[in-house]
Amino acid sequence: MFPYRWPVLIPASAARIGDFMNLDIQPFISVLIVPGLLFTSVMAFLYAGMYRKVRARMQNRRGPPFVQPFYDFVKLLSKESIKPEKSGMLFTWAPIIALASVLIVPILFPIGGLSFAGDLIVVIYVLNISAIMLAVGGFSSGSPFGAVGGSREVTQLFAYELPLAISMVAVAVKAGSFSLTGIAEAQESSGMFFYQLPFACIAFLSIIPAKIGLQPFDIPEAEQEILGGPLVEYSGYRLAIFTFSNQVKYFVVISLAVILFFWRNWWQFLITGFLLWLLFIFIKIISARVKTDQSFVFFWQYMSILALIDLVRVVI
Amino acid sequence: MDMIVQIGPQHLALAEPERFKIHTEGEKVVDVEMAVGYNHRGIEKLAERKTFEQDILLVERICGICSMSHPVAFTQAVEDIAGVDIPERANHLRMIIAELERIHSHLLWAGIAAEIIGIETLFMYIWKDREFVLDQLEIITGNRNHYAWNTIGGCRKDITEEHFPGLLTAIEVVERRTEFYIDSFLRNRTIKARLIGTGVLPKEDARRLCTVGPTARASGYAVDVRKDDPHLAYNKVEWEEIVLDEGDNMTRAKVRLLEILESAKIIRQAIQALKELPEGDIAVPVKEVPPGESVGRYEAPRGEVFHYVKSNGTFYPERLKVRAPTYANIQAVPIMLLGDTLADVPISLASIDPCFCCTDR
Repeated sequence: MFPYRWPVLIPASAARIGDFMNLDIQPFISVLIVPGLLFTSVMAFLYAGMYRKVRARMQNRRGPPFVQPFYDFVKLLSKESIKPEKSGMLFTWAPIIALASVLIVPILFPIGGLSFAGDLIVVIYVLNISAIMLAVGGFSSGSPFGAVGGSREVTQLFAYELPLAISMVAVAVKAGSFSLTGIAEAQESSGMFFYQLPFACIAFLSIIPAKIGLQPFDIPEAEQEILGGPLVEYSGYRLAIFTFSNQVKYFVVISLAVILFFWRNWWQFLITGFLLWLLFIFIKIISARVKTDQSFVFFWQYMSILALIDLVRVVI
Repeated sequence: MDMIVQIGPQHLALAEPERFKIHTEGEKVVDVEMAVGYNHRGIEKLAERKTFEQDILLVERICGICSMSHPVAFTQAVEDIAGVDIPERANHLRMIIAELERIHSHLLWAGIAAEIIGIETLFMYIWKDREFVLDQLEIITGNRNHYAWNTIGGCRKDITEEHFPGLLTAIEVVERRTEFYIDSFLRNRTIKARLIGTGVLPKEDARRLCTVGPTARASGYAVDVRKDDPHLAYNKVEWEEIVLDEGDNMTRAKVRLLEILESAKIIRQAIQALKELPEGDIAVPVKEVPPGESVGRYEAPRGEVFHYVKSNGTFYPERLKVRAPTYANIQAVPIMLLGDTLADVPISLASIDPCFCCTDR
């Protein structure tokens, strides 16, 4: 067992060592261990394993072992990665940039991460980069399925971006801060924003399936329609990196929702994250895949209005 | 942006190889080209080199799912040439297996449809319940598929008292579960969003293209061999022909699921009839097939199966012609697809319950 307060203790004691060596190593710890690369990778594999196991149990199946996503990752790394003749340089770079961009987000989390004014804006943009890279990878693969998947990904991005931005701004205005740490501190003093901004919270939660590509909004990756869309030509280590970046996205986006609306302290942050993830797995297994136009109507017509209600309430 | 998307010969939405070239403008479908024939095995020619008895097993292997349809159509044609009337009990025995097959085929289709629109949970549930029927088929006939149930002049085995309790239980379970699935299809918002209003086949087109089976009946075109030209014992049991009007994917799903309930009704009545008919009277011997020609019609789960048999007095048929339901229905696919989006293509394509190994033979 780890010590009780390990995510907080490790950066703190590391900082003390840094003082001794007359060197500030806290940023390195934040980036590489907690809550950066190592912690996020472990959580991503945990989330992915939970996704497969829970889904299987709910469907009357046994399901693979919990560590199967990790096995798959290692297996794919050892396989040959075929690059289509027509594809460009971006075919290789898209998965790497996608993974890098999603790995930046958890560094800013208020569990011992770095923080600066306005990092919420960075989060919005950096999360979009991963979606755009998925589209770019699809377009550059030279396959019509990849191209259709890419265009669907971009359309989807336009659809959910509006309610996402509105609900995030509502939270920022309420907290009086554009940094994740500031938002978390505001909730520690005044209670969870879920109670104060319920509509914005619902709008944000409705975006999560679209953001991480689960039913009912897994339109870009629709396997039965366009064979996995942007990922159709990917194999080997490129596919491994892309899949892993998606799994990191599971953890990052869910955690973001917890920080924005359900923050209390760091251990409740982890538990709430798992509970929310269960909720989204459940929604995934009971819904079919809607179409692009239907998701557009859903996000623009209903969710944007919901988020706007709370923004107006907060501003007034 | 004009683009050609190839659905098939290998595609996740198709279990069998067949090619569809979808011309799209953005996501909208503007033209569809079909190419069938990837699965041709030359069964009609092969049948001419085998005896009538061997041909029953051969035509049974035209299709893995409707493996009752082809043998019944074939044996009916041959019995007609030979001029024999098969015993009443054999008719009922054939009908029970046929309806069990219809149930498992429709459940299989419902599962695949659910999987194609992205709700794999329903797929897993439905295919689990389908096992009840397959288990009964295995207990009764010895095989889950390819039952080897028919012979010229009747059936090869009997369904006796010991089979009835298990069969009735399975029917009841499947009936109850089907009601739950009908409820799921009708009430789940995401399923409704995908199925209602997509892949519409108007009644005029359904009639003009001679569609058959649930595809036709979902467009309001009442065609069912079981009612129109009663074979086996279908005119001795009470059941309803399900005909609905809308013609979209949801209606085709509804027709198939409601037919499962009708099949359950038919099986119950057939079991009642079996209890009254003398046991063991399941086949009449047919020594030889005189020269002549005849046709056999049979309502398979997908529609009408049509067999034409010509005999020249030897042990071998001179000609066997098979027309499978999908061959009639597949002409309707372009009409369903035009104007819809690319996202609707797989489900509309699957909504005719295509069986390409029947089509190509």
